[in-house]
Amino acid sequence: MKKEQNKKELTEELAENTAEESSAEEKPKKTPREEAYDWLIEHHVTTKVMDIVLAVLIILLLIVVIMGMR
Amino acid sequence: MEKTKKVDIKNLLINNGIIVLLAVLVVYVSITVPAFRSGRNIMNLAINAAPRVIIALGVSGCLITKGTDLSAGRAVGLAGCLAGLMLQKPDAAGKLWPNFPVLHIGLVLLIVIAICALFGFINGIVISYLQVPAFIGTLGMQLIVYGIMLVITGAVPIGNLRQDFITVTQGTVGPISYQFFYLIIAAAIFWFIYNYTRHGKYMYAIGGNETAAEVSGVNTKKTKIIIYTSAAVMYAIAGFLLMGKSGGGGVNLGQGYELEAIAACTIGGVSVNGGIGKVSGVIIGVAVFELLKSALQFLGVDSNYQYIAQGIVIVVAIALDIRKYIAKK
Repeated sequence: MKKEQNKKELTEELAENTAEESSAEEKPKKTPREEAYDWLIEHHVTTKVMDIVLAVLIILLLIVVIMGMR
Repeated sequence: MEKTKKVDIKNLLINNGIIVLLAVLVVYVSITVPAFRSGRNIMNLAINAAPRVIIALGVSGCLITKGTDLSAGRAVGLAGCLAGLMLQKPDAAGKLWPNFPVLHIGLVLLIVIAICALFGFINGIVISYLQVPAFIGTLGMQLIVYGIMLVITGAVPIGNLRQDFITVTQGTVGPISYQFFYLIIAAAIFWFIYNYTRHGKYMYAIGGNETAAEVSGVNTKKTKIIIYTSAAVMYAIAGFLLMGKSGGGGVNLGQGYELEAIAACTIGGVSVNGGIGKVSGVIIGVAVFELLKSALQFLGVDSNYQYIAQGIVIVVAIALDIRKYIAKK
């Protein structure tokens, strides 16, 4: 009787562990950078916004180079 | 079909944005300033890039394991000063170590490597066993190494180097400098280590997930110590080459090179969050940085403005990385 109870407990524990492991497998841990980038996506930073940022940066670079050449 | 092709070209341009940006700049400078595309300038670029690639290769290992090495530049300086002190001409006026015996150049290189490797080993111990953040641990080492350098040299510039030292570092085979060959050898060794050795695999595993790597049986502490020690060996070689290349130098040798190396690695796709990075990326990163500096010089851009331009290029590299991630999502 006791043996059976022990077996049942072990089986339940094993099932719980497997469930935990599989949920962990489903959701791989994000790196801090991925979390930060996801925060950007949540705040509506799309590829279009990034294109504008890049364009501004490149214009800024050109301005710096032209100013430095004077 | 046509749409896929269009998207592919757009993706290709965006994925290699920095290289495309630089290619445009290089083409423009080559057309407007013909001296920029001369063989002499290209060789100068390779000579300048050689020690920087060697330093960046050392730093890349630290970055891949989520660490960093802020002592790189000062270690380069210490190596250069030590090599300079040991390889001054015996009859040089004002020789800093007048009683130092004349040693074989190979032996001097080994001594310099051993001293720098000791500092790298200490860095590794502090970071892996004492769990000190790499940023702080190596910052402390940076100051220690700089202090030692000042004590040894008394802040006096070192010159009058032996001819064999000059030959080894400034010599050429036809039009190609020896430094270029050293670059190729260092890159080939690191490429082999990163791709075909257990140590390389451990390194990426630690960078990806240190706990998982440890659970899988990777000796993370030992691996980190090897990474920081081998990085210091690279700084020693780079310092040796830099001192010989410039024919002399002082305590400012290598100053700020660690940040240049980290920037070059970032541009070349080595993730500061660990687990990602290739030797080819490191070389491309340094090449991009050196080409940018050279192109700006040839365009006659004021040196003060050059720093701003370099900073913007790094920000562009980060913005491109963010854009890639968003596009993937």
